Amino acid sequence: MGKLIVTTGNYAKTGYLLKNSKQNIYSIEELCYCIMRNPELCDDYLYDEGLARYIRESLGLKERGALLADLIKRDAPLKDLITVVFCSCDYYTKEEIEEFLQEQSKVERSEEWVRTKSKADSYLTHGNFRDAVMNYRFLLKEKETYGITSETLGDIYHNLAIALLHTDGFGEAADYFREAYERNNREETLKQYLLALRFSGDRVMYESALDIYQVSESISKWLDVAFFQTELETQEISDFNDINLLRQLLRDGKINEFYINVNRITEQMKEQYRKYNE
Amino acid sequence: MASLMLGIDFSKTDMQIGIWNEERTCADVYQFPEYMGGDIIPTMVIANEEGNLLVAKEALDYSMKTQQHGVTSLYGNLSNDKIDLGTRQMSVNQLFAHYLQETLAVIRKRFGSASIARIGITGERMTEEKKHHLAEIMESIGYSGDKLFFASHADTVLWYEICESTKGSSMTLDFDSKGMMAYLMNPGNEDMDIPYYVETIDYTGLMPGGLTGILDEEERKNSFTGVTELAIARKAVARLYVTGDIVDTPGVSTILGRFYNNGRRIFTGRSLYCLGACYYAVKEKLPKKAIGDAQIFHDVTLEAYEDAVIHQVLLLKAGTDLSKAGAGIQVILDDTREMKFQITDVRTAESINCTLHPEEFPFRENKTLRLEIEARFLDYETLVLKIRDVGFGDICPASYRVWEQTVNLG
Repeated sequence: MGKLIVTTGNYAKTGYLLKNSKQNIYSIEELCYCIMRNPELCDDYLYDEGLARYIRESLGLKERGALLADLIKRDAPLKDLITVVFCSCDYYTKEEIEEFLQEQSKVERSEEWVRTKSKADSYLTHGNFRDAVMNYRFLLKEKETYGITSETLGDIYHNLAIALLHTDGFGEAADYFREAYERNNREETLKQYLLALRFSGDRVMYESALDIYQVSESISKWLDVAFFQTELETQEISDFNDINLLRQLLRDGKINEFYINVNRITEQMKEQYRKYNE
Repeated sequence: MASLMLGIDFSKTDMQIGIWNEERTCADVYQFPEYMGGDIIPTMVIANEEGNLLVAKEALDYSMKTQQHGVTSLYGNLSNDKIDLGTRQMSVNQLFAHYLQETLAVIRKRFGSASIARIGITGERMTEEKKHHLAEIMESIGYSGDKLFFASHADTVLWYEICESTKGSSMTLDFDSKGMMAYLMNPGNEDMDIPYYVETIDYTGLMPGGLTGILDEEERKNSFTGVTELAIARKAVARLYVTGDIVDTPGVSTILGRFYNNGRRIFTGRSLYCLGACYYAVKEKLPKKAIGDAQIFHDVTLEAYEDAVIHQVLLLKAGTDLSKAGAGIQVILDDTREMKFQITDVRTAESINCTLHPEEFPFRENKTLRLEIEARFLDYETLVLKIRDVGFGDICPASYRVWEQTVNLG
């Protein structure tokens, strides 16, 4: 049966950034939502005393904040902390909370590498690439200890490569995509490998990879389209930024700088036009 | 040293003062036979053509006769003009402050230099502006705001009736130079959780200028009879109070005789409001559940999930001042797009249901649509329900769209 849930506590004026999740929250309900959606990340921020203080002071839930602070101090199990947060409001029903905690118990009983991978995947989803890279590298280092299957290793390499695209660049990412493809044999991984090579500017490696992996015509076409689209988007963003810059200079009354930039942009456009017609 | 509680009724032309002694056992209306050369304390003054100061009803009569503007009244029109008192000039505020100071000094002296602990102040309608003005005058003569308690005439009727433990309903008819105001006091029913409440009915439109404006005595009596009949028609009124200027008209008692009916009691006089104001000052709280003047008659609830149960969450409570009758809560929609309100008239204990299901809600993942719901009374019978999308933090930013519905309860 549908219902209207009455919110609990204050809606804070300033948000609280949950550690390692790049997620701001403003209410206790949003915190509950984040825990439920990404339970693998919640131990990063639930043990944060700053969060307990935020609940107490900004969300106006004095008792709950104090209780959480006390549990953190006593290094209580994560399950206890989650229960305190969930029971602070009516966002989840008793049944939903029980089901979640049962699921959590199962996760806690799973192998350590499974939990580490799950956490790294969440970091990747939330744009925390640095921590994702760190966790994936740890798994690769300990792969023999954990006895991770070849296919799963492929997925780890693939995700590591994606994280590296955001932190280190195309070169290293391409290497890991290759390692991934050799283990998981997935078409998606192959596409990403070739695209990374193309963007890295290593034409020789790119051509050679096309030969080695006998890339089909459809994949080849897909690569052309993806490459062209990305270039186009980058160009559009650059044009948009230029226009914003010109507007700002006019607004600030910096007329000289405005004309210097108009000339620069005009020259760029002429150059692009020439290249296009070569 | 004795301590006194006062109830002051600021009527249009003069004021009445009720006094409670220390035992708080009875209220009495104080008379001032020697004050200002008469038995009244004016709230209205005017200077005539010769420059003489006319007070109270004399001032009113003079202004009506000469159509003179610039009548200065403590309760009505105020002007910043200085009043010439022969030996010195005073502003209107200073003059009334002077009247009050002298009057209160007489009272204190009469009770053995008693102190005045609390003062209930009443008038026909107690707007914030009037309260502020009267408080300013009282403070200028040393009576601070924490000693002052303001109530409208309607509220003093309610307090008087409840504190006097009367039975059944009553009607107060207040005839003045503007017309007639009626206050119908309805008794509550504790078993049915129905509060005591007072309804104000304005008959000014029926006789502009009031009865005192009718010069022909016979016509005035006929008009008085007609309006009184109209006011109490089909109402089971156990007590009838008649107050205002009309009580000075000869023959009123005879006319009122025809309204004795089934044990109904009839009172005439000018003391009802100041006695009610006394009760207002003396009692911290009414002994019974009651809804006063300028307060709403409806409970407004919303069916929602709170503390792990679905129940009617109270948004607005009957008895809240109309000026403050606005409240809101925030809810999150869980598998529903409906908002079910219940509006209960506490006078009859009858409820009406009002379901809102605004269209074009932004499409969001379940439980990420947070809405601010506000209920606000525009007047006693018009309720506005307003819904605003306030988003779910950064997870689902707000669209701030607003849906509004007006519910007419008349």
